[in-house]
Amino acid sequence: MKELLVIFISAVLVNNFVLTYFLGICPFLGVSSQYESAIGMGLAVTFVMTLASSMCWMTYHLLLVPYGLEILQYVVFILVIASLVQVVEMFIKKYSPPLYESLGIYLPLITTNCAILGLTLFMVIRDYNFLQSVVFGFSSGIGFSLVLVMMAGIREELRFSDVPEVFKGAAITLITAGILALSFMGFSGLISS
Amino acid sequence: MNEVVISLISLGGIGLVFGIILSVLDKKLKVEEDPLVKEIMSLLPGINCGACGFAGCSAYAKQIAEKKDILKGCIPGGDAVNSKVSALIGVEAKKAKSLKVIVKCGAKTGEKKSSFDYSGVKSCAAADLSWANIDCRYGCLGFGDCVQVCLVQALRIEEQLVKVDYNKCIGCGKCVEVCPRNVLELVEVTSPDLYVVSCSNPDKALDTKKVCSKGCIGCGICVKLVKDSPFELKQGLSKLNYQKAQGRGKEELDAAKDKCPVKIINSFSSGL
Repeated sequence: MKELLVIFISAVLVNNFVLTYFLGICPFLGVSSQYESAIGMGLAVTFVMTLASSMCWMTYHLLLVPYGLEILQYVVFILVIASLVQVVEMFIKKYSPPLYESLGIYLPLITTNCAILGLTLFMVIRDYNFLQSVVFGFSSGIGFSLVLVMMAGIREELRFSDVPEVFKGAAITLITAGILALSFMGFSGLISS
Repeated sequence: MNEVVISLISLGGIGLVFGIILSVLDKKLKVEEDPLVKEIMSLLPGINCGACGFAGCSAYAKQIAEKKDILKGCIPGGDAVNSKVSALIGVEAKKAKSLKVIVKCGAKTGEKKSSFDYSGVKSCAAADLSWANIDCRYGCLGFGDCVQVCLVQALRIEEQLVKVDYNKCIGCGKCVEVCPRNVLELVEVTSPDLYVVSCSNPDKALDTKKVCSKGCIGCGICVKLVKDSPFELKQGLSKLNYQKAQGRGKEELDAAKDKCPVKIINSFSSGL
């Protein structure tokens, strides 16, 4: 139990995917201009991450390891994630058209989100068992959503602030992201190992 | 050699399994899409203004296909679009209202008095929360919240006052929603000339004069000028009743415009 809690805190705060590993920067900058879409994207990524970690754990340990095919993990993981996103998209389109419409293009784009491939590879490197993998996937998604929502909140406020001409647009966004990453470094002492 | 074969078989196997699962799910979870909706969509302007009362053109097209009625009609598209859509779903064409936005304030910088400098957030919504940048509690603040939401760039700010380009205005009403002071209003336009009482200050003449030189003083000349006048005096403010004004002669309205002592009745070419 304690181990799972450590994984959770580490994935959300200490080793945050966006601000520590710099994975998934594209949606982080692209979808963070509005609060509502940031929440939608965060939820979709959390959902896919949780499913992907469990599916990839199963394919890796039940199929690739017994046949000594670890070298194929990259290809297989991409295959699994892509199919998973397709299935999720079909389900959402069928059972919740409003959510499908509000997520729009971001849903299929999760396929190419490097944070998810990174997640599955970390899971293999760190040798997690099934339960740990699922918790790791879920908490990474929560960490991603947290940062995305924070960034969206800051950027909505930024619209009303007096930004110097040269910093307007992408520059101030990247600076904000950098300062956010710096402040998240403060969490690094939280877990010693 | 053996490894290559195993890799090929397993990777191909995984791909095949996922492919089969996806194709089965695709059949099972297929969402029926009405071809009529797509056809209606291709006729609508596709600017998602929301004037029809729905979230966007696609939501509106869905409703048309379902109810076989054009409902409120497409306001920016006008009669051209509405008649085409009506023909497509096989109902008689309805005439859609032509709506335009009017500005119920006509005071420029200098005319609206300002007792102090405002240095807060440059938005009408924020300025209206505080004591604002002008003394009049009803007039246009001139930060252009409405200009930002306009889909067709029909609005602009000139000397702290919003101006409407009536050739561009589609009457969607997005600007009316964001104006914190209700200076903007949507009215039905039927003639090429659009008369507007450019003030929304209902205070008494003395109080109005204190804050603005272009404010309605409520003298009522416009009301008394002709019999059964389309102008109405409510509190200390003249209001043009656009339903009554329909079919009225240009002279009657022009007379009121000329006789107004503070010259706040303006006429615009409505773009019809």
